[in-house]
Amino acid sequence: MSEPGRATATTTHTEDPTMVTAGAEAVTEPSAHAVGRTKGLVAVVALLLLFAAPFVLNSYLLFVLNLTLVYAVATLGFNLLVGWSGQIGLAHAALFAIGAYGSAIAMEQGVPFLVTIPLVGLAAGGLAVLIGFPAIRLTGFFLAIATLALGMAIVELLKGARAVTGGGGGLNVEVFTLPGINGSASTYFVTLAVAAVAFFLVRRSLIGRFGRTLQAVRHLGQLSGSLGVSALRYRLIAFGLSGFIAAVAGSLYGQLQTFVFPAMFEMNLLVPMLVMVFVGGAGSHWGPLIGAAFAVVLIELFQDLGDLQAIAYGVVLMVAIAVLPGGLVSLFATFRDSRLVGRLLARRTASERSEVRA
Amino acid sequence: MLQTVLSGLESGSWFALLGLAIVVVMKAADVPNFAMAEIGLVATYVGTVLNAAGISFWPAVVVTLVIGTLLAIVIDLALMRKLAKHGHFPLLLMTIGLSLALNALIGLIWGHEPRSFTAPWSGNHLDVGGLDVSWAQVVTIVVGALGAIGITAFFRSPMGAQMRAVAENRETARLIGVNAGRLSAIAWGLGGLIASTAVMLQAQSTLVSTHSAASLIIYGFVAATMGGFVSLFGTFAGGLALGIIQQVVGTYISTSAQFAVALLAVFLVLMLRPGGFTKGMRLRDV
Amino acid sequence: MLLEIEDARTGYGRLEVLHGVSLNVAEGEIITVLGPNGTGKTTLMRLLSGVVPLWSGRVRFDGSDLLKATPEKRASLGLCQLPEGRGIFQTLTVGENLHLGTASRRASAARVRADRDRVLGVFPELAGRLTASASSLSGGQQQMLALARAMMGRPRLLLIDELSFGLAPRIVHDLFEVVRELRDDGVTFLIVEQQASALRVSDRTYVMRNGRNELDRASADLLASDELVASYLR
Ligand SMILES: Nc1ncnc2c1ncn2[C@@H]1O[C@H](COP(=O)(O)OP(=O)(O)OP(=O)(O)O)[C@@H](O)[C@H]1O
Ligand SMILES: [Mg+2]
Repeated sequence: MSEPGRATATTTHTEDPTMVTAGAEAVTEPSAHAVGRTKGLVAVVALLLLFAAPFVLNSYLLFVLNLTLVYAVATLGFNLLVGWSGQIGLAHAALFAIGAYGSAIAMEQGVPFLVTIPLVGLAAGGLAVLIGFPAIRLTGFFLAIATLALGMAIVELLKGARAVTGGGGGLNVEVFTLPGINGSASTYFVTLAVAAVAFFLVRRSLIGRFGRTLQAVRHLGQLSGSLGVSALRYRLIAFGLSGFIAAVAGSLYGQLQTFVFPAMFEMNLLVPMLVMVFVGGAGSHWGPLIGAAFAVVLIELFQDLGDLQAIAYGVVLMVAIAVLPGGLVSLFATFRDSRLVGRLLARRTASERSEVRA
Repeated sequence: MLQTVLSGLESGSWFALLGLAIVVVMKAADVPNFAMAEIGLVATYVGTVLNAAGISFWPAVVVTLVIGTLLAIVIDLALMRKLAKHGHFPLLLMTIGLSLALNALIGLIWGHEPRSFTAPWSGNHLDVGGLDVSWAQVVTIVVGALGAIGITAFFRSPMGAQMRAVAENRETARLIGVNAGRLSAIAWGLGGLIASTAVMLQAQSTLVSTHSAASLIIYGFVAATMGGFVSLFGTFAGGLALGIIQQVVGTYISTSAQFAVALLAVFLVLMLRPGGFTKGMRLRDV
Repeated sequence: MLLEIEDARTGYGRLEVLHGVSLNVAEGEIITVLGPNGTGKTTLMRLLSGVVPLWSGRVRFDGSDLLKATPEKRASLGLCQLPEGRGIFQTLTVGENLHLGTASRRASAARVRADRDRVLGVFPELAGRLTASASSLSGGQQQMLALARAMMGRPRLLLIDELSFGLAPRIVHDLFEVVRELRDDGVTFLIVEQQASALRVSDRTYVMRNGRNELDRASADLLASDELVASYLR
């Protein structure tokens, strides 16, 4: 118990960018190698377990797991924008829709599904950069409202362009299958692979200079309100990356649902997406996974309840914010900072330090 | 054409009033309130229920306004107050969550079928030089204009000056003794009052529903955006202009394009003139 | 004592800025707190006004503990602040700014008008500009407005954060004269300064360094000796 326990406790500390205050740095970075190795091991085991899922789970549970992974990828992009770069861009559901629709439409034109994934990613990433170009100069709710409006306009466009998108009626999605494997398992394997790669790459880049710069830009933005050119460039990159990831997730979503229609991508998607970012903890690494799992369970619990589901979403979002303005992940931080745990940890880190030195 | 402009002024007044409700809360409490239309809708539905239960029009109106005001104040005190120190994101999410929950709650209680709030003058028309003017339109436009004037006057009163001071610098205002918490509750109450007025005006002329509230809030934000979220005049003029554009688009292009046009308008205004249309034109932030 | 601070500690986040400040202000005194840049003078003012919480120690105003009182509550008790950089609201008119000073108290319109006339008597320069935008005033006039506004609240203790901020020596001199006059009307002052010019009007001076107060002397003695220079050089 002590090994994984320690891994969580120490990693969340370095991971939560809101915790980076004066003096906080000094407490961490104990035996980074050992922690890294444990974490690598945990990740590999988790991945193997997930890989085995289609062989052990029934089709309903597999769908739920698949949906969780799709949302986790989408949230990974959203979190990059909202949590890490601190920009409340609300066109994410629409960019997700572009991925779903774009992939389906490209497949109708004969493009293989696996090729459509990077294609829609690039298209949506490019669009996000275009949106971002003027938008990054806006801050706070101005940005939120501009991007919200644009996102809604994109969905309206999907409704309007009947010839291509089927309008409000929706569009059938051709399902991709791996040779020798059935449809839902194929979709799942592709999702799993994409999710693993996405989480790996995003985490790697966020741990490094890119993540630190994004945080710095975010804090600068809060302090001064006006930013230099290079800071704006980073905001733009965050926009583009989050758009790319949103569309990739959207293409997977299309495969999973096999049928898409505009009403899927309105507020009823954006609010859960916000829930996922928020519950997971804005600006954390594994928050998107936690948030997505939480939201999918909620969706499934309140399925077919119509208004009750919407109420549940609204209320859960409100309660989550009221109780934990820092998201679920902040629970770990609170736990870690509580006296007893803090003392235990301090002792352990101290002994680890001496070990490292020795 | 004139007929179109007239309808535009009518719906524009609803948008303008809702936009003003948003701006009032924004100015004093610094919260972009996405739940404003639902607050108005809850109040209006209570009014229609009372009306249907045989309570006469004017008492029902008073109850509606009181409920809208109180509901907004309760929301501020119960949900918003504690979050203020965590910045914009939680506040924004809170109002989004609230709007979703309130909208669904209304649907659960009263259903999603459109309703109207029949006024004694509903259905009566005037003929002004060949122009067909309904009394509902007259009432809406007049109340809208009076409301805008009233709010402007309020912001020039000592209490309004305190709100502007809080908006400019909350900490300094508190240091010199301005009770920012009380002002924020007052602003929310005022916002709720205006929002219920807007939805009620809409309901005495046409039908309202959970769906109409969801688009009304967007139109309100368009209007507020045109005023840069600070200018009351800009918001009012922006709302009226939006109403006219909507009707023109609906009459000459297609009603299904109305919503998209409004959305693009917000985006473009924010991109091109983030300070709103009246920026540079106004002497003071009123 | 009107104000008693005992071993007060506070800061921002995990950063402690005040490491135990103690000082006393008696009714009718003018007290200066002198200290170099970044030593925590503004933090002390914000602590007294209740913007930053007290971590440990004690702050008593007129004999009662201020621990839980909000800034506006403190203002209504007569503990007003003239914040650093004046805190004039640029989007309001001069008259509106002035009127804000009464936010902390309940008073009839007639009394407010009487107070306004009295305050404008002290600052005649402002009288003609009540409807002008506050942003059109010069720096010195804005500081007068800030002082005038504070007087509208009829404070018992007025905290002033750098009265001399960005002003020419002559204007600072005049403002301190006004402070002296107002003291004669019964107001107590706690003035935080970087410049020693405040010493001429004040009764006692605390010298603050690195979040602690080091010296407590009668201002006149401090002016006469070279202790001040010495404490700065240390
Ligand atoms: N909001 C804040 N958050 C974090 N640290 C702060 C904050 N405000 C001030 N500080 C720090 O607290 C210390 C004291 O600041 P303070 O403003 O109280 O000094 P001061 O004596 O008023 O300086 P000055 O002469 O420049 O006005 C400084 O080191 C400053 O960096
Ligand atoms: Mg200072």
